[in-house]
Amino acid sequence: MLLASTPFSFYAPPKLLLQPSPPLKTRDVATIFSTTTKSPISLLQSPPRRLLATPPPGKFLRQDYLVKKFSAKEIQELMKGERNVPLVIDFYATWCGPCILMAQELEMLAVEYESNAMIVKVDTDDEYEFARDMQVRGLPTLYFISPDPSKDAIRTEGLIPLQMMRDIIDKSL
Amino acid sequence: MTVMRALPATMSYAVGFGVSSFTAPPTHLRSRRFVIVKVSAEPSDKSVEIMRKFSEQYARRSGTYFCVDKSVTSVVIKGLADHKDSLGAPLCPCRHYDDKAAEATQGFWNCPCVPMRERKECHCMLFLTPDNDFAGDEQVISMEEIKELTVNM
Repeated sequence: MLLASTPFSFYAPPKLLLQPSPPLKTRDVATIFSTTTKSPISLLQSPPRRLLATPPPGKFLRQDYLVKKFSAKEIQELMKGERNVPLVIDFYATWCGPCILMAQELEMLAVEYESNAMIVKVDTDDEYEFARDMQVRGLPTLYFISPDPSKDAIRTEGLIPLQMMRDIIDKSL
Repeated sequence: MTVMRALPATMSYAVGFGVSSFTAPPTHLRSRRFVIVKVSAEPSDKSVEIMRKFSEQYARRSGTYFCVDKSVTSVVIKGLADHKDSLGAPLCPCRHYDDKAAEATQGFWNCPCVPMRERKECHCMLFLTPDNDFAGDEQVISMEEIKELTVNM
C-alpha cells in the first residue's frame, strides 16, 4: 500500500512546480529526486522544498583563509603603489609554534577589519632575501605599515595580544 | 656549495616521497626536469622521536611546562627535528637566520638555546615557566599527539 502511494506522490508535485521559470524546473526535479532516498513517510509528511533562487557558486568554500600568503615581489608592488589602508605583514615559518597562534589572531583581525586593513603573510623560508632585507630575526615578526608614507613602520617581534594589534592599527591609521 | 648548504632543506625534490630531503633524485630524472619544488620537508620520525624525548626530559630538568595548546609544542618539536635532519643540530625554529649552517656550528641558537639555559626564556613557547599565562601542567607529550596535531601541515 505504502509502495503504491510512493510513485503517486513522486509524480504529483512536479506538475505544480513546472509552472515557474525553466531553471527552477530542473532544480526542483533534482530536489524531488533527492527526496526519493528518504522514506516514503517523510515524503508524504513534508512537501519538497522549493528553491526560489540558485545558490551562489560556492566560491567562498575555496577561500578558507582570509590572510593570504604573498611573495616578496607582490609585497614590493603593494608598498610602491597607492594605498589607503594600513598594511600588516606577518613574517612566519612553517615550523614556528607561536606563528600558528599569531596566524589565528590575524585571521580574527582580518574578519574584524575586513577591508579597513590589508593583512598578508610571508613565509621566511621561501622569501629568504626579503626577510633578510627587512631584518627579520625572531619569529613571528609583524610589520605595521601606515598608508601615509611619511609615518614610520612599526615592527613587533613575538606573540602580541590582539588588543595591542588593534591599538597599533588604529593609531597608525 | 656553501650557499647550497646554507639554504634550508625546504628545497626538496618531489620525486620520491619516503626519501629524506638530502638525497638528490637519480641523474636521469634530474636532467629531465629542472623544477625545484619548494616544499617544507616533513622531518623523519626518528628525529621527531629524539626531539620529543629531549623536550620531555629538558622540561622535567628545568621545571618548565608545555603550552596549554599542545599543537604549539608539536609544531616546535617538528621544527627542531626538521633542523636536526637538515643541519645536524636542532636550531631554534622560531628565528630567521642569515646563514643556518654557520649558526648551527656556532651553537647559540641550538636548542636548548642560551637564553633558555640562562634565563629560562623560550620564545618558541616550548618550555614555559609555571608563571606564564600559556603554561599548562604537563611535561609529557606523546608521539600520537604530535602526529595528530600536525596532520595538516
